[in-house]
Amino acid sequence: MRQTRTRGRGLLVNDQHARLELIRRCLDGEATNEEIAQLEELLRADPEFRLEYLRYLNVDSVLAALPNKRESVAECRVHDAPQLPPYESRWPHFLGPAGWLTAAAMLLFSSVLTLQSIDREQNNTRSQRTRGIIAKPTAVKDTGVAVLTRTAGLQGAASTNWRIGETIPPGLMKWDSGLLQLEFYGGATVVAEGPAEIEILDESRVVCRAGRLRARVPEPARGFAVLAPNVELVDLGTDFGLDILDDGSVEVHVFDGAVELFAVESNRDLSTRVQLNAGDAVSVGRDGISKPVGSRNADFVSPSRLNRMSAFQQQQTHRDWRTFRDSLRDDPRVVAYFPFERNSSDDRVLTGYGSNGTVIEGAIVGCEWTQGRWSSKSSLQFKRPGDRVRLNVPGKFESMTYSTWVRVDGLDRMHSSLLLTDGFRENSPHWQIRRDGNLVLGVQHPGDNAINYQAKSVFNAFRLGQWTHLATVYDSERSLVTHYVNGEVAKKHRLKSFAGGLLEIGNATIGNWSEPEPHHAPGIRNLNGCMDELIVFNEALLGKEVRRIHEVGRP
Amino acid sequence: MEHTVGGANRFMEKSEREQHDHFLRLFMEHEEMLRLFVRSLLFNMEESREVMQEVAVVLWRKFDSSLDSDSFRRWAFGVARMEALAFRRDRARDRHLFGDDVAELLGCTIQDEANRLDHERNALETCVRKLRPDQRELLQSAYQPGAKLKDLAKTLGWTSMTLYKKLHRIRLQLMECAKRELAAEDYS
Repeated sequence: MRQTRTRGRGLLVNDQHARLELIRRCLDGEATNEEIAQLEELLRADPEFRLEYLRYLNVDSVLAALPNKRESVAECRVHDAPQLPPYESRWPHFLGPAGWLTAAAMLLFSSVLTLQSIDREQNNTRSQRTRGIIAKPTAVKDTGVAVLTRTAGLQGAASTNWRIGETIPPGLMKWDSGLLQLEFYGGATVVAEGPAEIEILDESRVVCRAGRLRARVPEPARGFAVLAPNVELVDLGTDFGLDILDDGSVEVHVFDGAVELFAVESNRDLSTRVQLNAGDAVSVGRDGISKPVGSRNADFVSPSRLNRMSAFQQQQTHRDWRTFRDSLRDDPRVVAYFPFERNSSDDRVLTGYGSNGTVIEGAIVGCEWTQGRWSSKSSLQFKRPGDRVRLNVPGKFESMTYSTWVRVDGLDRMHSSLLLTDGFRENSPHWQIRRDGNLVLGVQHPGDNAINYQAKSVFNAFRLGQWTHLATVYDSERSLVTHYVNGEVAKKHRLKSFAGGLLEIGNATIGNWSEPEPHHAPGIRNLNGCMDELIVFNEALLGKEVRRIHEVGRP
Repeated sequence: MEHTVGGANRFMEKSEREQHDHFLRLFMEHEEMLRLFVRSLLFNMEESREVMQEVAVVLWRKFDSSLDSDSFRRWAFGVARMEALAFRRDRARDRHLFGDDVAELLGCTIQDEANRLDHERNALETCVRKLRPDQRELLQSAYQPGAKLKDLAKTLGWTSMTLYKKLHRIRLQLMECAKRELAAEDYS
C-alpha cells in the first residue's frame, strides 16, 4: 500500500480510509471550510490522491448518469441481461449515430439560442452574471388583500416600516396615532385613525378592536364588513364611520347609503338585525343595546381630507429634505450629487454638484420628468430602451458610497442599471439590480476578473412601484462592502480582494449602460422606473449616516 | 453557394449546420471529462449541471471550427475552469474556494488520465451489475434525479449518516471492482 506524503496540516494523510471519507464529506456537502482546505492541500501535494479523488467522482457520475436504472436493473435481475452499451451510445437506439447528433443539437441549441436572445453578455466567460437570472419565471402568489395608499402623521412602533404603495396581507395593524388609508382588493377604501388596532381578515372583512375608521364602499364592494367589540357591521354600499370609544361603546355613523348591524357573534342572526340609513348615528353599548346619537361627520376623516392632510405633510418633509440637500453641497465627501430637480430653463440637463463647489451636468437622453417622492418634487422616469443620463464623475477613490432613491417599476432586463461606468474597466464599478432582484456592486479586477458583491432578493413583486432607498458602501479600510435597503443593512461582504487600484467612475450612465468597446455585445440594461436623488461619496459612510439619508428623504 | 442578405433566413445555411455538427462532435467527445472536471471543482451535482450548461453555451458562442480535437479540449477545459470558479465566487462565496493552481492540476490530471477514467466508466457499468440487489436498489433510489437523501434516509428508517456511509461503501466497492476489471483487461 502506498504512502502519501505528509504536508501542511498533516492530518489523516496516511490513512486511506480517512482520505476517502474526507472526499465523501466534501461531496456530500458536509465538510467544513477547513476540511475543504485540507482536501485542497492533499490535491495540491499528491498526484496519486488527485487521481483517487477523480476516480471517486467518476464512480459518482457514472451512477448519476445511468439511464433507466430501474428497468435495466430489474431486467438483469431476472434475465442476466447483456452488458449495457458503452456510455457514448446510450442515446435512444432508434436515433442512430446521426440521430443522436441531431437530438443533442436540438437540445443544446434550443438552450443556446434562448440564452443568446435574452442577453449577449460581455464577451468573456464571466457569465455568472447571467446565471440565476435565466430561471424560469414562476407565478408570484399574491398574499395581499389591500394596498396602503396614504398616510399622515403615523406614529407607533410597527408603523415605521409601513410604506406607501405597500401590499398588505391579512394580519394585525396597530399604531399609536396618525392616519392611514387602505384600499381593499374588494373595492372598499378605509381611512383609519390611531390609536388603533385593526385585524385584517381578508379583502372584505376587518376586525376593529380600537380606533376610528371611515369606509367608502362603492357598489362593487358591497358586503364589506367590520367586526367591532359589540357589533358586526355589514355595508350595503355606502359611506360610514365607526368609532370605538374609551368606555367600550361603539358609535356607527352613516353618511350615505345604508348599513346593517348584527349582534356580535350572532352569526348575522336576522332577529338582531338593525338597518341604518344616511344621516343615522347610533351608539352600541357593551351590553349590545343601541341608542341614537348626534351625527358628527367632521370627526371622521374622509379619503379626500386625508389626501389634503398628507399633501400638507409631504410639503413639510420636502422642505426638511431641501435643508438636507443644501447641507450636502458643503460636504467635502460628495463627488457627485444629483437631487433630480427639474431645471425649467433646460430640462434636458440634469444638474448635479461635484466636489469643491463644481457643477456636474448630466445629459438627459429620452427620459421624461415626472412626479418624485413628494407631489411637489420631480424625478426622472426611465422607461424606453434608450432612456439614460450621461455624465462624467472625475476623481479616484479608495472607498466609495452610492446612495439613491428609486422607484423600480419592473425588472425587465437581465440587469437594470443604477449607475454603470462605460464598458467594464478595471476598478470602475457597476451598480445595478439583477432580474432576480439582487442588488449588485461589480468590480472588475486585473486579469479580467470581475467580483460581484450582491444583496439577494432586494426587489420582488411587492416592492415594485414603491420608493426605495438603496445604498452601497465600498469600504477598503475595513475591507467591507455593505448594501443597505431603506436604511437597514441588507448584506455585508468581506472584500474578496482589493481592487487593483483606486476606484473611479469617469464616463458613466445612469439608468442604462453605454458600452463603447466594440467586442462587447451587451444586453440592454435600461432601468424601468424613476430615480429621485443619486449621491456618490468618496468615502465609506457609516450606517447611521445612511439611515439619516433614508430618514430625511423618506416620502 | 447562396447567401441570404440581412440574415432573415430562419433556416441554417449549410456551412453553419456543418459547423454545428463539427462543434457537437468535439463537444460530445470531451463532454464527460469536462463534466467530471467541473464536478471536481464544485462538488455539488446540481451546481455542476448548471455550470456545464453555461460551459456549453460559451463554447458554442465562441467556437472556432479550425480547432482540432486536442486544442478544442484544452480550450474547453480552460472555459470550464473559468465558469466553475466564477460560479463559486458568485454563488457559494462562503465556501472555501480551491486555488487556481489546484484547479489547474485537476484539469491536467483529467486530461492526462482521460483514457483511464473513460475505461473505468465502462468497467463500472459492469461492476454495478455485480452488486447485490439491495445495493442496486439503494443506488436507484439515491441517484434518482431530484432525490433527497435526507428524505430517503427517513423512509428507510436510517439516519442520514448511515445512508451516506452505505453509499460511500458501495462507491468504494465499485472503485475496487473497476480496478480489477481494468487489470483483467490488461492481461487478456
